[in-house]
Amino acid sequence: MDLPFSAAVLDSVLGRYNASIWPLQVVAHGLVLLALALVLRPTANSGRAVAAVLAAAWAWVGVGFHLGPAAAIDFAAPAYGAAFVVQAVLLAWVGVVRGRLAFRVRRGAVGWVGGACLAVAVIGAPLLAALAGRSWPNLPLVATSPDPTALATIGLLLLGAGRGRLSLLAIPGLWTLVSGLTAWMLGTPERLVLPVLAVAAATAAAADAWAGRCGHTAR
Amino acid sequence: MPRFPNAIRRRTLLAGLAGAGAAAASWPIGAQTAPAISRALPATGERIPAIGLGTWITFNVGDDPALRDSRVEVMRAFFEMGGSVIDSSPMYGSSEAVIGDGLARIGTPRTLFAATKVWTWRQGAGPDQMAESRRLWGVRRFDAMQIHNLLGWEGHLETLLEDKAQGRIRLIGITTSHGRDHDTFATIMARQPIDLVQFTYNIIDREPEARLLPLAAERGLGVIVNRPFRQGDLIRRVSRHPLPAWAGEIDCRTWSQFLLKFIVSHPAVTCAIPATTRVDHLRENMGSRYGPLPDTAMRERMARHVRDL
Repeated sequence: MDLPFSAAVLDSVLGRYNASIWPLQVVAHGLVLLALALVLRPTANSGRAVAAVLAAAWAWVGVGFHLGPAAAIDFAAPAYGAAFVVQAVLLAWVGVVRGRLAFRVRRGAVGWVGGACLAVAVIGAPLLAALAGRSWPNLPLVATSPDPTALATIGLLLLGAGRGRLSLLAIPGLWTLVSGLTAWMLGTPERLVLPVLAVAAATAAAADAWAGRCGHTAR
Repeated sequence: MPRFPNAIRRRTLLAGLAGAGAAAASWPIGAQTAPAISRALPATGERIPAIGLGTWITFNVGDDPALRDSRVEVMRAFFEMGGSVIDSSPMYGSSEAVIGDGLARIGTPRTLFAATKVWTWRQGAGPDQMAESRRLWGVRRFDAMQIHNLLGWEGHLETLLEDKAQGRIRLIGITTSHGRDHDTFATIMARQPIDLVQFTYNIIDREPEARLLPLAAERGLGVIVNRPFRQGDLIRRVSRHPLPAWAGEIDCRTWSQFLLKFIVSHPAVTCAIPATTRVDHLRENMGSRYGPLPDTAMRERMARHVRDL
């Protein structure tokens, strides 16, 4: 199986997309920073607010990127777009409507991995892309590009609490596989950090769930 | 978005000129006057150049104006050098739109042999998809409409036979790649009223010599060969080594010409469709339409040489 596009064309599509939605990225970063602030200082409805930010980001990336410019070069993009919209609906239902999610700073491996995912999503992804020779507007940015959005979601869900939290990792986890495979096939190693961190996150989440069952959840 | 279209065009132009100069060295002596290698399509008897232009990946550039400009230059050079067959598919993302853009900007040559594919599971979706392909290319009809990777082939064949009868297409084909589905493929070749086939064949992937190529010759089917360079892997592999001196006996100046002459020298092959993003590479590819073709002994020597590299 080959991809129908080259790395240069994928960069070009991302660049033209970023340029076309500017300055939405500023608003998106503002919302993500607000969500991070609510994780650091939780309030009564902060879980709903963080989930709303994530749901909005997934809906936007699904419709604005996958079903938009990405669909012009990739026949699989509509399927990815649909998956992103489903994730947005799930986050909105579980986190916003039912209020089943809470987010806070956590210690232990799960806290470190969650923090690393968030750091890479917000700062690391564009930085790695820049180190690989890409420049604005060809940079992946959180809440408007798929990879950092998936990674930020994984990080926040690792820092979360509540029933159904781990099942919300399924679609972001699958996306990291798709993205990792794409990076491998296109020969763009800087994008491989996503699946590597996702594997670490899955391991931390599994260990955390196991410890929780045994009554030793890290706090 | 801060882009510099003039600078990009200038850079593209300079790169193109430099490439043209470099490629001139790979252009066989006397190529301007020698007859180019062409093959007759068994279904119609018309002769088409033995080297066409594939568009998988290479023409899927979205809306990027600089990349579109460079593909227009590839198409312009292709037609200037006597090219005719362009092959694409709805599966190739924006490739059909980019081809249509190029044809509109160059002016669609009368020599164009437009080949694309129908690529959908549902027979009912085929006509709309083919109409969309005509709109994207800007052509009234396709010379060849092929069923992509045999997807929903029974239903589409029914549609295509009707389209052919109504003059909406001239030729019906089927395609596969990577050596997939050869059993089903051969069965369709043997039993169905099609005009041409497209599959992978190159100096490494020689399986079609055993069955598909003889069957095509027996059934009077045109043969379009895809992945002649294994999507560039073959070129990258052989380019680490010098071209053997004896390649000059068949007027090969570059590895690409060596590999393409191997393919088009098979008597059952109608044309090969290498894909490229560069004018200099296109010129090299088109250069393989000139000079002598290898005979059976030379073909074996060529295959042995590549295998032993």
